[in-house]
Amino acid sequence: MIKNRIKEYRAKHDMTQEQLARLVDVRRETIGNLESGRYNPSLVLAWNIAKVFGVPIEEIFTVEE
Amino acid sequence: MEFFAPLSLKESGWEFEDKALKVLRFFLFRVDLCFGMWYIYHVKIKIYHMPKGGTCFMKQKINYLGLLSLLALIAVLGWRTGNRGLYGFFGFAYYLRYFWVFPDEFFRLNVQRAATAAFMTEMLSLVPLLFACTYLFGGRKGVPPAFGLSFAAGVFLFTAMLLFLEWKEQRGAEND
Repeated sequence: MIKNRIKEYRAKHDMTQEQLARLVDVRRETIGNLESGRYNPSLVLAWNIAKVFGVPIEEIFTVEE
Repeated sequence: MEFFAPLSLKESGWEFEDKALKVLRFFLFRVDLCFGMWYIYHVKIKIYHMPKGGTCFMKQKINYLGLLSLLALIAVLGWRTGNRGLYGFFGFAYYLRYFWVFPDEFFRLNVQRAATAAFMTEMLSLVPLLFACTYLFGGRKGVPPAFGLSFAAGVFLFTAMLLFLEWKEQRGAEND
């Protein structure tokens, strides 16, 4: 199970789901489903999201065993 | 028989047709130009303005699922030839809406899931349908309806599954 802190980082950067979605070339619904844990992103998408926030991927995405 | 009309019909004594062709070419060129500009703006690039004054470019991809709406043209063929069995293809016009849906990875995953289920359903339903139609219609006459029904079952399941997955996606998307 992959957990993420996208909502937390969005709040830090004062960013809406729509804005983040446009930056990483996905729809707002995809970001919403990512945050609610209903969808696991591809490596490329995870990388792009981490790049937007300027942090390593491990800061945002963690694997819960 | 000449398939292509000569460029200058006037010389052949077809003055009216010559004028009509020139008018048609005039409008077609402009429609083509307008469509090209629309295509470049709406399909290739969309510029979004961020609230703090910055801009970001979101490359607009073509959603190829919308091309399934072209199958609705088969219904026009049915209408012209009087074959009422083809009227059902008008339902494919529903897929026109997908030209306005951005095909990101989550959307592609949903299409993958729906297509897999539809393909398996179509293949597996062919067996009982062939038996049933062969029994009902007698011999070879049962084969075309069996194939038609299994195709319809596959298409119907694909559409229904995609709708269901989109509904689940909407439900799961948190609001800001």
